[in-house]
Amino acid sequence: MNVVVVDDDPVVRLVLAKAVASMGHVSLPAETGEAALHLVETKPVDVVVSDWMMPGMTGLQLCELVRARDEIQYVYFMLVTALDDTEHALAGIAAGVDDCLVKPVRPFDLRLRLMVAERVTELHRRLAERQRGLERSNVDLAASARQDTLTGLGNRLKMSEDLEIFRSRRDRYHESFGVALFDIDHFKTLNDTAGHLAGDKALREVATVIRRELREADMAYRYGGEELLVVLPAGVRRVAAAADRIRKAVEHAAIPHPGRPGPGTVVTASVGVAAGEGEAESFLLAADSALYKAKSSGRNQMSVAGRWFAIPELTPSP
Amino acid sequence: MRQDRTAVAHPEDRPAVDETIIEQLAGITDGQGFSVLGELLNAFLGAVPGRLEALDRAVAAEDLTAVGDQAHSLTGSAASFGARGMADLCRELRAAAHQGDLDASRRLVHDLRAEFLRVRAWLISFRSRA
Repeated sequence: MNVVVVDDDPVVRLVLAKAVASMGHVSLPAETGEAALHLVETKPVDVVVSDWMMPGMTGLQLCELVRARDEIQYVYFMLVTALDDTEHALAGIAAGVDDCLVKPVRPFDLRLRLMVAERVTELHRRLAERQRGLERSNVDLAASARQDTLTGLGNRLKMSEDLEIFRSRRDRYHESFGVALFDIDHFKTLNDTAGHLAGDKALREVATVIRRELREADMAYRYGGEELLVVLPAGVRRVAAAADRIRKAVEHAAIPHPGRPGPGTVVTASVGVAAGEGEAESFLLAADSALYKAKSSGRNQMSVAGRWFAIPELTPSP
Repeated sequence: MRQDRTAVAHPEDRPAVDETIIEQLAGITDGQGFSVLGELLNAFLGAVPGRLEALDRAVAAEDLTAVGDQAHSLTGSAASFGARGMADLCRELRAAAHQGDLDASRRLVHDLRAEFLRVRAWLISFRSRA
């Protein structure tokens, strides 16, 4: 163990430090409480053996400051008091001292107490490890509960939560956002001709293309069977530009689509875009209508729910 | 703790050093398993004369706060080496300093020096025996 030995008297400090080292521990001598605290803050200290009465910070004050760091590391604190000093011993234990030793400290007593300290710190260490493990699995669980297992994108739960965040940011800070709803063209034919595994694979690959095209603040979700939703913190023009870029990237990825009706043998997607004011729900409805329009106009294209949104450069001039 | 005057008035009634404490200190070893008692004794014997001089100066300057602080600090060292008579004298000196008794303080510093010589002789003889 790493044991800090604090005593303002150099002779006592030397005796304690040598005794600690003699028991196979690393002794870190400190002349003052302040120096001891610095050691605790900068080194993996397991035990502090501290005198009570010292110029400057007392052993009790040191103990309180060390205890305040329990979340970071548990340090076993031993206070050295005079034989008849029951009052200080009591106050020390109340303040979080683990053990009291009587002056002059007998090396044999110190050995026994350090054995106890080793057992207790080991228990604390294991507890802290288990705690960290639990916290990690909680985080993992929360993340996996929000992830679509097939595509690795966010699922519907994550989507609703994020849309709520996007909406509140827009309303509070006027940061606009928009949605792009993608649907793989002739997906049913792909499943029917190449099998569901091939369908799953194509869906995963489209998800990969989408993820690659996104910026850090953009989010993507699996919305339904073969529908993928992208949410971007941008106005309708930039959302539309990004959506069309992604649509082209899907086509260029040349994911095979055997048995596809019409020209071409690769996977393509249609996309409906919506942005502006209103609730997220109405966005999704508008994007869905736009997607339907893109589908009915021949697929592998983008349609913007433009009836409610001014997007001059994308609307063909009359 | 015994703090009665008679124990201090006749310190030669008992050994200057509690041998059981020194034997415990002798059990402290370095990484190679060798006793570090010699190093500890040297540290103690080397430190005390300076402390006694500081006490002399504090008494001469009639600075009883400094006397009390020095006495307290020396108590720990003396007790660590089993020098019970010295430790008792230190405690008495601290009490006298707190009470503002300069005469008693002066006398106790003198006693302390004499007691240290006894301790020193004892430790040196122990070292030659060991």
